[in-house]
Amino acid sequence: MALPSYATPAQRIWHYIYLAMCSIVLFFLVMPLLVVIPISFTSTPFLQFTPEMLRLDPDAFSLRWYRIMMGDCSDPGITTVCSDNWKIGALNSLKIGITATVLATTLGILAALGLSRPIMPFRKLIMAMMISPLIVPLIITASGTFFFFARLDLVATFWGLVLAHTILGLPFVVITVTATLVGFDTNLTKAAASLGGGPIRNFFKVQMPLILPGVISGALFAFITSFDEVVIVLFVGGPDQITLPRQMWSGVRQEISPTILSVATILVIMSICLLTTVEMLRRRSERLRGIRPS
Amino acid sequence: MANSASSSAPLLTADGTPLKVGLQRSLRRSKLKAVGLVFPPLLFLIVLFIVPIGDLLTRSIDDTRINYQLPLTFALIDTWDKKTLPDESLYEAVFRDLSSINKFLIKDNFGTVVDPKDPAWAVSIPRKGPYQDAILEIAPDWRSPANWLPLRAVAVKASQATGAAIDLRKAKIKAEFTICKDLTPLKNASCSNLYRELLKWDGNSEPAEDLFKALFKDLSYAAKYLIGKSSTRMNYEKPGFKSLLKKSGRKFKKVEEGPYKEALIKADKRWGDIEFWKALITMQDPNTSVYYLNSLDRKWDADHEIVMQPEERRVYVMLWERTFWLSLIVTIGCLMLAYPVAHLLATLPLRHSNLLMICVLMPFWTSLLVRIVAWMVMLRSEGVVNDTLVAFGWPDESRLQLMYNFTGTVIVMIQILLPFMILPIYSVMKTIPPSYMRAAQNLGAPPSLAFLRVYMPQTLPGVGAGVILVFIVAIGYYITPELVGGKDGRLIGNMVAYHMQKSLNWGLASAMGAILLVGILILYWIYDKVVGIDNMKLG
Repeated sequence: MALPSYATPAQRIWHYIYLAMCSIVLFFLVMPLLVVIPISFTSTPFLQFTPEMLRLDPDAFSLRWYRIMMGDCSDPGITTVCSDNWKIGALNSLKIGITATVLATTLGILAALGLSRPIMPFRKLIMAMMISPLIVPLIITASGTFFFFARLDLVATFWGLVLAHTILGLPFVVITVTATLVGFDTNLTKAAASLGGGPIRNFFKVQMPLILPGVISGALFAFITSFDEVVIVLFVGGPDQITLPRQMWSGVRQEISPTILSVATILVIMSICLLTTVEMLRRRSERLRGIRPS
Repeated sequence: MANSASSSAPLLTADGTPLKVGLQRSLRRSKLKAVGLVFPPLLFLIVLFIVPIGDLLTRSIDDTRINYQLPLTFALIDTWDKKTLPDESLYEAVFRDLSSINKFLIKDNFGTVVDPKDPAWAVSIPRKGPYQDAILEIAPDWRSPANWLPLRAVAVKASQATGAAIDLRKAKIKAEFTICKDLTPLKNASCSNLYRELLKWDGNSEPAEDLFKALFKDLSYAAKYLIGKSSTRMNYEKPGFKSLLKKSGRKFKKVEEGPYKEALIKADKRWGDIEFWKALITMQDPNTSVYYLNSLDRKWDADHEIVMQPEERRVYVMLWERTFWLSLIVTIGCLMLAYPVAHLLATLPLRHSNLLMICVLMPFWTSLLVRIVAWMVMLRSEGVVNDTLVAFGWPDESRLQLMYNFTGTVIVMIQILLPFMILPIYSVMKTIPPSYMRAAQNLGAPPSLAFLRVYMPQTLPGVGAGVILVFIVAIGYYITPELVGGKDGRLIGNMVAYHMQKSLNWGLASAMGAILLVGILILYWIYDKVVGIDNMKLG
C-alpha cells in the first residue's frame, strides 16, 4: 500500500509509524528463530554471540555441537550428557509421526468425504466433534488418554502413542480436505460413474487427484503435530520411548547446551521446507479449482 | 410438470415405481453412504478421545475407594450425634476397617450395603496362623475349590506363556496383579504368594492351609496398600489424617481386644479429636464434590456447609485468576500487534505480501519447543536481549529479569499465538474492497473517522475469530509456562500436570481439567456462533 500523492504531512508521519510498527512485529515473529541459527555454530559452550563471533573470526564457528548431536562423544569439552538419544529420538519421532499421519489421513479423508455430502445427518455436531481435539487443551487430552490407555495396557507402547497422535492429527486433515471439497464439482464423479467406473476406482482416478493438495497439506499438518508433540509423550509414553521433542524437553529443563540449538536449527530448516511445500500445494489447489489469485 | 393429468396418476420412474418412493429411496441410500463414510473416523474419535475424556470426568467425582476402606465405619456413622465423641461401636468399626482384611472376604462389603451385625466382621484372623479356620468362618465359600479355580486359571495361563525371559516375567507380574484385582478393588496390588501357591495346588483337592496362608498374606499386603492410598485421600479432607493412619497401623497391632475407644485414643490422641471424626462424614458419599470444591479453594465442613479453605491452603482461586488475566493480556497483546500487520498483508500487492506472509507462517510451522528454546536464548540474563542492551550502555549489573516470571510467559506466548490472530483477521481484511475507504473519504470523512466507522466494523468477524481462538489456546497452555514461567508464570494447566504426575491427586487434577474443559467448550460454542467451525482455516 503506497501513500497517495495528496497525503498530508500528518498522514505521511502516521504512515511511516504504521510501517515501522509492522516491521517490528514481523521482526518479533521471526527474530528468535533466526538468532538460533548462527549461535548453533559457536565453538564455545556459551549460548550467546561471543565478541569473536561478532568479528566473524572463523575460529569462533565450528560444527562441534552438530557432531555431539550426532552422537560423536569424542569432543573434549562436553559438559552435558552425550549419547545417541538425539538420533534415537529423531528416528522414533519419524516412525510414530509417519504411522500416525497415515492413519489420520485415511480416517480424515473418509470423514471429510462424508461431511461434504449434501445430505449428512448431524453434520454440524459431527464436524464440531471432529475438530474438538484441536480445541481441548493438550494437558486434558493427555490426562484422559493416560487413564484410558492404562486400562487397555497401551501405556508405554508404540501403538499407544500412534493412536493418541492420530487423534491430534485428525482435525487438521478433516479441515483441509473439507476446504478442498467445497469447490469440488460433483458432476465429475457423476460423469465418471456414468462412464462405468466403480466407486473406488472413481475416487482414486477422479476425486483424489483433485483433492490431493488438501490431502497432502492436511497430512503435513498431522505429521508436524505428531513430530512436535511432547505432552502426550510425557504422559502416555514409557521412559525408554525417547522422541525428539521429549529429548528437547529434558534438555531444556536441565541446562540448554548449544546441541539443542543445532537440533533447533535443523528443525527450523525443516519447517521452512514444509511451509514452502504447503504454500505451493495451496496455490496448485486454487489453480486446479479455477480460483485465480487476486 | 404440474399439469392436471399428473395430479390424478402418480409419476412413475423408468422401472415403474412411483417417483416419490424412488426419490426417497435414493435419498436414503445417499444418506447411508454419507453415514457409512463418517462412521469409522467418528467411532475412532469417540472411542479414543471422547470416552477417555468422559473417563477423566468421572474420576473427578469418584470417591469409591474410601468406601472400600471404611465400609463398617460408614455403615455406622449415621448413628453418631456429631456433637460428642462417638461411642464404642464406631471406634470398633474404625479399628476393624483399618486393621483387618475381613472386608475383602465379606460379600457386599461396599459402603451403605454393609450389614454391621454380620458376625464375620468380628472374626480376627491370628497373625501367625492358623488361617484356614478363621478365613472360613468369615467366608465359608472358600472351602470349595470352585472359589479358587478362576484364580488358578489366571496363574496357570500366565505360567504357560512362551517367549523371551522378559516376556515370561511380564506375564507373571501381570497375573499377580490380575489375581489381586479379582479379590480387591485395587488395580496395582500384587498377589505373588497366591500366584505361587495356586500353581502348586492341583485344582481338585480340598484347599489346604498353604493356600489360605497365601490368601491372608496377599490380602494383608493389599490392605496396607489400600490404607496408603486412602490415607492420602483422607488427608485432602483433613491434614493430619495420613500420619494418623500411618501411626495407627503400627500401634493397632498391639491392640488385642476392646474396649477399643480407650485403646485407639491411647494409640494416637487424634482419635479423641472430634474434628477428625467430622471429616470422616464428608467422605461417606461415593460421589464426591470435594475435588471441585478444592479446586476453587473451598471444602465441606461437618455440617455440610461449603466453607473456604484455611488461608494458607488457598492457591487455586489465585491460579484461575492468573490464568484468566494472562490469557486476556496475551489476547489483547496479540490483537494489538496483529491488527496492523494483517492490514499491511491484506493491502500490499501479492508478490510483496507473500514474502511477509512467510514471516508470519514460519513460526507457525516451527516446533513449539524450538521456539521456546529460541526465546530462552533471547531472554536469559546473559541472553541476546540483555547483551544487546548492555552493548548500548545499559548498566551491566541491572540486567533485566525477562524469563522464569510472568513477563517471560506473556512475551513468549504472544509470539507463539500471534499467527492465530493474524491469519483470521487477514482473511477477513482481504475481502474488504479498498474502494470503501476511498468512498468514505470522498464523502468528507477524515481518514481516522473513515477507518473507525467504515473499515473497522467490517473487520470485526475476523477480530472475533482471532480473539476467541487465541484465548481458547492460551487458557489451556501448559508447555510454555512450564518452561519459561518460573514460579509466578504457572497456570492452571501446570497445576493439572503437577497433580497428575507429582502429587498423584488425580481427582483434583480431573476436577480442574473438567472446569477448564467446560470453560473452553463454552468459548468453542461462541466461536461456532460467531465464526462457524466450517470456516476454520489453516494457513
